[in-house]
Amino acid sequence: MRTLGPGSLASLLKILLDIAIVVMWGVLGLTSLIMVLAMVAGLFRLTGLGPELPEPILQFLQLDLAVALPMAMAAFVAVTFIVDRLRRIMATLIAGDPFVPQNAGHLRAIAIAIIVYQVIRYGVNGVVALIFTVFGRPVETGVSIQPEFALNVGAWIAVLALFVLSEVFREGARLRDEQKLTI
Amino acid sequence: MAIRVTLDRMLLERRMSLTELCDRVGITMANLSILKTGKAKAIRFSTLEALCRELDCQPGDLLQFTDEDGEAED
Repeated sequence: MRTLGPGSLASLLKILLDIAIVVMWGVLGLTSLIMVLAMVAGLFRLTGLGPELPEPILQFLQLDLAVALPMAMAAFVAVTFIVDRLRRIMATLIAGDPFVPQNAGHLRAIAIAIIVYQVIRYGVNGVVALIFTVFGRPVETGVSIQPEFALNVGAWIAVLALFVLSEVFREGARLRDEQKLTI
Repeated sequence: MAIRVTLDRMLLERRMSLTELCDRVGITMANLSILKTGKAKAIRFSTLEALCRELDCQPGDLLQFTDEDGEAED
């Protein structure tokens, strides 16, 4: 099977990524909705205003969830962003012209998205650990949050590899332009 | 650009159109226009050879080095 051009492995990947992005937008929408509901429920509980929410819903919309959801959303946003950029790269592979200057930018953007997500993850874990240290661990049931500081070596290696690949594509695009203007 | 292509002058001197030169050297009009307008980054020896053959000139007649102010060097 060919790797570039129409009907190739690249177009198969593009179809999979197209499906993935639709799923990701759906998951993102659902997560946003749950987060808004958790915030509204928290507001009702704090102020005593608004209707009495049923116990199962209150049980589901715990404080833990309000902390876990933004982190999950950050992950979903990062994955959606990465999938979108990969789709654009695949489109150029299908067109049979991968060395366009935009692809270098896409790869760099993916690397930055991974960095941002990793930093957010460390930040949230740090804040959670700080809250646990100052106020103690919550004993109520709900989603259990474990602050951890494990370094995701794979992610950081991927970041470095993506930056290198980005430069490879930039050089490729430069050579392609030069070739185009060689008469 | 420091190297200027004087193709337009050569065509004028030989009363030859760009289309005619395209047909003779076998280069597309788009590529020859890039060369003529000075947008080209490089020129192949084969192209230069074909141009010199059809225009009956030397490579030096087609290329001119200019300093940054645009004045031609002797």
